[in-house]
Amino acid sequence: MNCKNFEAIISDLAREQMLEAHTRESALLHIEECAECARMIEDERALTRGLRSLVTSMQVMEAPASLEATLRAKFREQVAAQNSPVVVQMPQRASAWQRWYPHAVAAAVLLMFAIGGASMLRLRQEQPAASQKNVAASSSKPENKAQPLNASIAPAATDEVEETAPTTIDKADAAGGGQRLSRSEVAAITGGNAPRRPGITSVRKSDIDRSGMSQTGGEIATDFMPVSYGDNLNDLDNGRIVRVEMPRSALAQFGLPVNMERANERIKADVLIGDDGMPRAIRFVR
Amino acid sequence: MATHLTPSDDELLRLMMAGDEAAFTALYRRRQAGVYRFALQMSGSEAIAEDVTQEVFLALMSDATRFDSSRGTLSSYLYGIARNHVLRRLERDRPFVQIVDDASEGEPHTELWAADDNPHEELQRNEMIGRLRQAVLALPEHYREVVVLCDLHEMSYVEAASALGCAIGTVRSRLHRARALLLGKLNANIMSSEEGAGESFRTARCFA
Ligand SMILES: [Zn+2]
Repeated sequence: MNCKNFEAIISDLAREQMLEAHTRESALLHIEECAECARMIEDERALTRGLRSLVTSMQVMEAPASLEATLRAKFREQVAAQNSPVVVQMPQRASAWQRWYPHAVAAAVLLMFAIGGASMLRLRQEQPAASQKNVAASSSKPENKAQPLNASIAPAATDEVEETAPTTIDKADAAGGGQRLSRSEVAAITGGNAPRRPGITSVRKSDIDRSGMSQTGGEIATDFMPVSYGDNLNDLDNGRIVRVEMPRSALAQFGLPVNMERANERIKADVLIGDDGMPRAIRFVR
Repeated sequence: MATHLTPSDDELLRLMMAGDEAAFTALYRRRQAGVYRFALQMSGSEAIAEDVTQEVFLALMSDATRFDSSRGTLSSYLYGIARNHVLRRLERDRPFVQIVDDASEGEPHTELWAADDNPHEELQRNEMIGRLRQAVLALPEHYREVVVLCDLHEMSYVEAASALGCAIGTVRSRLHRARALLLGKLNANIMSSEEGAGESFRTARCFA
């Protein structure tokens, strides 16, 4: 071993990191022959000792006890907010609804990315002004920093788009463009009164969580849920269903409970795509 | 890093997400000190450390679904949030944060080390620790964070990489460079005090 090689592993050696036995041996041999490197490793070892003393000297330091009380109070507040009726007039504190809603929007955008980048542009052009405003809050990131609807919403939604694992479309289905549905079949899915997102007035989170489950050909599926809030599925004439895979955490984006131990598994979902190519509704399949 | 705690962090997190306050409290008690010390070592400010600790746990309770256990431990995740808050805070307060000097922040340590039979040696030891702490604080942030995580929090390269969101090789090479910088600073210090420049120069030297 020469001085250059020695210098490259000097920190690992001084920090007693795992080194290949043979590397370690030749390093120790080098110290015996090279006074300069012997001095350097002494310095490095002294530094390691010093840093350990620094750790010891700070061992008893911790956050002030009052912080625990503050945080527990916040926690109780939040749990209470989750269990109380949620209205659209948004309160100052992030309610369950506020947290749920951007996730649903983010997921819709995520789906749109997955199903065809162009559809997002279409969405921006065609959405009625009211809902466009909402979607824009989370979808405008690619072009500019969103004008957040509310400071606490926008970051959560945009980050989600970045961070959620890529949604992959089941090849067999995607290649065939999905299963075509006739108007009557769409009507059967969306129902005379479609399973719309809970109305503007007031809704309990528990209602969102306990979305109905139904049995379809050996699979259990949730009801179809509109991917964007307030979307009226009744005006959908034709559509097709595309089977996709998503991270299990996507369930949470729709306000459904997630078993954290299995949060990384992938789950199947059926996405109902309108003739305009936009995802309109989703159901999760087990 | 403790990895075999019962119940596990993940289990506590799951209970916490279901609204269990006791689980939140247990998780907080288990992880607050590490987060607090990390923020303190990064910022040199107890006020910032306290604020950051609060922010980290508020973030956890308001959006725990963002934690992905396939990317690392909950502990790394919390350090990652803490790091982002510290850097943001340092950026914002840069002109205002005065890095606390030995005299005012040294008290807890002197207390800690006082009960010893050789006061002179202890004094030297405390001085050395104080100098080292200052040298760490004076490192550029991307070097400081690897020293704090790997050497002061005894994280593996893998854990540190997960907290910092960078490659393992990056952690290793930054740590190597950071330690060389620390040694350079400390040697310069020792030389200056040997030349009789005395204590009053020490801090000035460190932040020159
Ligand atoms: Zn050599």
